Amino acid sequence: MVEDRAPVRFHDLLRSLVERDVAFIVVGGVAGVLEGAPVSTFDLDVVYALEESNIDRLAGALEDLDAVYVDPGGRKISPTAERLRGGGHHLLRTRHGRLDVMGSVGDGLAFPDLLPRSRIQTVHGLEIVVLTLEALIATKESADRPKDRAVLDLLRETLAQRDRKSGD
Amino acid sequence: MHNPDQNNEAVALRDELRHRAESEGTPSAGDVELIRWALSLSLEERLAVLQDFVDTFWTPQHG
Repeated sequence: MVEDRAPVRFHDLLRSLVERDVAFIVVGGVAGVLEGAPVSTFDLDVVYALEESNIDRLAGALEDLDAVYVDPGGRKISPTAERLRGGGHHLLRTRHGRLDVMGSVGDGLAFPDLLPRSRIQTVHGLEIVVLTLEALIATKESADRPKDRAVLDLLRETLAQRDRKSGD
Repeated sequence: MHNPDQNNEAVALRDELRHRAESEGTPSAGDVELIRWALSLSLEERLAVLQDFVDTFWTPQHG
């Protein structure tokens, strides 16, 4: 179990999921950064496929990471396969920092919905699936939370600058 | 991975990200320059800049 809070180590978290062959899509701030937006975040957000075999692999990866739910009461509750099966948002603390694994984002967009709106990126030899900037903007527009609105203009401008650059 | 110029730029970007984390706002002319610089980085460099930001500004409240 994780006894102390730790700053997120993005590469270590990604490697743990890839090594267990988990089917997941990077969303949230890290997706924005990999897509070229200068945004910041203190956690890794991923959407996972809800197939039974994938849930078992994800549960194994989370066990490797000593993951427990973020719990204000300090209880050490582990994200078992049974809990992951229901989808939803699982806000976790791991040996490599904060990791949120989700069954869906935005208006109930799950792994099969997001996959066509994602691209494979290779980072330090790890092949990971990352939500595109266009889809990230759409999910944040849909969520319409204050923290999403705070970065939307920046994401839109990044998209505009990228399009301008590719048109040169 | 970074040459000295890139390190200086990384520090500037980190400071800008900190400012952004503390306030909401629309992109300024400075934002546009920042975006262009971020877009010029490799994927590894983008993740390294973010990791540097976390390593510098993370507190237990974020964990």
